[in-house]
Amino acid sequence: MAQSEQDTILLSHTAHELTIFDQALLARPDEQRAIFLNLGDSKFFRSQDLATFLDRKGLAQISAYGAPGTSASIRFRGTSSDQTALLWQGLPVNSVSLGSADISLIPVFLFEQVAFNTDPDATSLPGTSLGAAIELSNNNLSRIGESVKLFSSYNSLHNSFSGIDIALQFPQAQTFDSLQEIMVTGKEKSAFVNGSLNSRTKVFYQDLRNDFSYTDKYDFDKPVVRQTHNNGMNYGALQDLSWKWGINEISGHLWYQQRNVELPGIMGKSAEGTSEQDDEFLRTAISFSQWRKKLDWKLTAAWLDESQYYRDLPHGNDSWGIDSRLSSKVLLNTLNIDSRIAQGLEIKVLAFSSYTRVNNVNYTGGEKLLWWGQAGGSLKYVLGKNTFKGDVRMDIREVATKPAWTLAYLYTLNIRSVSVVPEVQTGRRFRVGDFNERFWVPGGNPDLLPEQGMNYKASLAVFSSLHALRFRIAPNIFYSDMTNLIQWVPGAGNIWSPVNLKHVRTRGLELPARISLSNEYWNYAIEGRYSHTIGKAVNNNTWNDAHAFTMIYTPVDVVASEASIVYKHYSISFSHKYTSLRYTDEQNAPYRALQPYQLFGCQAGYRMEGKRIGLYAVFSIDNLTDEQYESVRSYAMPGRVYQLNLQLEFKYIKQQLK
Amino acid sequence: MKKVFFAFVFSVVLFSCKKDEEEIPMPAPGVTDETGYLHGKFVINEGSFLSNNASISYINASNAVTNDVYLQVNAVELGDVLQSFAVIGERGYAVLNNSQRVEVVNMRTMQHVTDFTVDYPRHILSIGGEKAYVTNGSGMGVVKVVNTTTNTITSEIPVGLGPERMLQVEGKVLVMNNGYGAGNSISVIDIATDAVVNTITLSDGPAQAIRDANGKVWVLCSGQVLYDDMWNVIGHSSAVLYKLDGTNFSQEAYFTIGSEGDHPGRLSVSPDGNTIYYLNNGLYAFSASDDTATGVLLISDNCTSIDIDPATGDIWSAGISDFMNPSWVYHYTSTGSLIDSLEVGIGASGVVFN
Repeated sequence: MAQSEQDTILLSHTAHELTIFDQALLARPDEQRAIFLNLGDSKFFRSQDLATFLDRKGLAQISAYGAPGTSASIRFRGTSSDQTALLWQGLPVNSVSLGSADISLIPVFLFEQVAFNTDPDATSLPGTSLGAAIELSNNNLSRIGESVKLFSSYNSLHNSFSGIDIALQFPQAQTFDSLQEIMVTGKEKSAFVNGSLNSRTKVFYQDLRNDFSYTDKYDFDKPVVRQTHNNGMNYGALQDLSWKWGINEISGHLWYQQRNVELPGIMGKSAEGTSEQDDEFLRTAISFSQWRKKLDWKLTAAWLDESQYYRDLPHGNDSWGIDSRLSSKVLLNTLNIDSRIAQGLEIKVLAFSSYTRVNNVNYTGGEKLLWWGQAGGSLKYVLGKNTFKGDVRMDIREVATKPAWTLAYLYTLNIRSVSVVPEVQTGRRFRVGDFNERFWVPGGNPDLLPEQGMNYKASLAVFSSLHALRFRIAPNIFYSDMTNLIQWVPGAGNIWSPVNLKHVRTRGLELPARISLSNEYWNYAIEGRYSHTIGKAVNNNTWNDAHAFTMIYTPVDVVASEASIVYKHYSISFSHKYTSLRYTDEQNAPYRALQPYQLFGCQAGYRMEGKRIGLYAVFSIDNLTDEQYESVRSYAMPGRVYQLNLQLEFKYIKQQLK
Repeated sequence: MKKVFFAFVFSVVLFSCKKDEEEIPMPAPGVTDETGYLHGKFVINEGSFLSNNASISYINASNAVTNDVYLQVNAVELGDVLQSFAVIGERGYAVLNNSQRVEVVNMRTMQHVTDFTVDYPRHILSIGGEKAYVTNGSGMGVVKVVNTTTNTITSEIPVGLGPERMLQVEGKVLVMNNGYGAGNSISVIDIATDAVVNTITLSDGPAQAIRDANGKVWVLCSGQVLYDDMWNVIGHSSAVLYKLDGTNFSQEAYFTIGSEGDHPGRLSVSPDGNTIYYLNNGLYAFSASDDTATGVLLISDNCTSIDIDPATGDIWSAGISDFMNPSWVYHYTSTGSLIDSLEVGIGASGVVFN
């Protein structure tokens, strides 16, 4: 727990500092290895999709195929989007078919916490990610009390967003104090015996017009072009329920979403675009948990039913088209056991299984049954200021002839007295090719070898406070050595097929820092994050490569910063993000690289909090300087966007955090 | 006399400073003479689909290659998927399939002149005068009639499925209705009336036609891969080389090429019209007078195109591309001896000579 503060990226005045209690509820095995974004109190960004939000924070490289609602993927430290796992309720929800997760689908509104586990634990986070694991979650239901929140936003792209968030509790029992103490201290409390039913419902509707103009630099005359094929709608609901009695809890979760969008064409003469995509999914999960003095355990079963219909149908004299109808049904089961068997000694066990039926009606040879099992354990021992941790996981897949092993170890020296925490970590991870990579017809390659990676990281966190001044800096250096990286290349007859690239290395430096000063009325904060990443394909099977080329869409330097001032009910903030040059082809042609760009933003907010009613109004300007830039080559991004966000909150109970 | 002298000097200076419409921009990458890019070899680099990185590589008389000449001169990308390129007079026509346009450039300077929109353009053929044909469509296609002076489309001619390459023969144009292998006909267009006057049915996938020294027309049909409803391969139709009469285009002979599963797509002819080349996992050559037409393996390298230099008879062939990295073109003698290899743009698919 000691490192919770230094690794917590706070959203200036819009987020509260994570307390030990927060960390305990998040129940991460290695809090010091994760970055937590607390979105719960963020009023600025609730209508943004997760892709836009994370991009502005500079935490990861986002590849967006245009305006909001268009596909976007996320990558860390020079890896690909397939190598980044998205977790919901601890369950992997990356597309079974495509491998990656489209985070443009997810409005920030739905979740209050995003945890970036950049060095995923081998036992507690199911999934096969070489890059990172992102876990989406909401506040513990018992903390919320009862409230109704209405949220609405409108921006100059003519996009609108409406949401309602209802929290209910029957009876209004104050159980969370006991839960807090159990989580933090491991003690059972007799007070935690009254039953309590908690419900959280979020429903949203998003109308996407994406009405903007851009300079088409791929047209000779560089005309200003109106985006005309980028409309869509996105709606969904998230329901969390929990029933607590004694040391037990049953919780149920449902997440339904549907999005229908027109996809923009590339810049140039075909800017109008002709393709469309419908995404729909229903994700359900039910868990039973029990907390005991020396042992917690949780059993989860989940059902994921997802479909994606991509079409680019013929028009004019064109009979060529794509009619891709992907569908998947996944049954997931997990068992987590956390045992504190002696002072300073903790053992965790994970068992995970997945059964998937997946099909692409027109492009696969019928439905496929895929299965996947994981079992692992970790041992953590705290001896004085030293923490040792090792974990091991075994994966069995239907394609593997033998189990694959994942290993990691961690050492932390916690010199709390001088607020300096050095840490070293090593891990081996792997990823098996996804459904499309193995079974797409024509071109899938069932003989693909799993990607494998060795990751190394060393970090040094320093944090301090002097009266009202707080300071935190936590640089780290990392190195990843990956083999058999999967990449699509054209083969015989110009049919694309995935192959294993022999060797890819990434290394770099990350430097998050924050300084804040506050008194009774004022709060000043400046925070920033600098990332330096060198990702090189050092040996590529597809050509005789004497050079090491930078991985595509991997900027060497990214700087994101934010400064904010809060005075009583008023706040203003300014943000800035610089992204350096990104190569878009594997030979790193300089004239096809995407040029560096800088985005500036500003926000002004008013916050009125009464005993029963709260009102929040925020006006923001994104891309203040109207920068014309590309996230993915040839896809236009919006320029300056004005947005007004309103939130009205009716509260019945105001819980006080300790 | 002194005034006359100064007037002469002044006029020389004045006129020498006058901006010429055809002035070659400085620097003009790769250019070695005053005609700019008018004469040389041009490699068609398709680029990666949906990446706006199609390009033209220029090879000068010394066989020195300059890549991305359009991009270097115009400071803008050529477009997405360069399907074909042709030089008509002093204009170059770059047919950009997925950009849905034909880019027109000044061949002395490589500077943009204009462009015109075609929704699924494949190939362009000058048929003399101010007229050119552009094949268009992956379904039941049309041939667009283009005025090459105004660079506008004046009319269109309905043809068959997925029209691709064309061949001009004695006042007629033969259009290969390839249809990605599913087409099986040739539309014969009368240039005078811009109307289809005959449709010749052959086998699957008419890909390319040439005319030999004897006036015969040779048509290569690639055949196609046959799939069931679940995209399982259930067979192949054969690749066939047809020999047609050069006047009425009636069949005189046909020859099956390769074995089952082979789908050759390129055919070419030597400058004297006596040797015919085709690609089928290597380059084969046979005499136009050969009654068997199976040919001999001249080049065993697996290439994707064959183009014959009309001046020398040398063979130019593009190597297999991964459509992500720069590709290579290979320069052979007419007997198949490798002379040189040149690194060009992404997805090289052919060489054009002018």
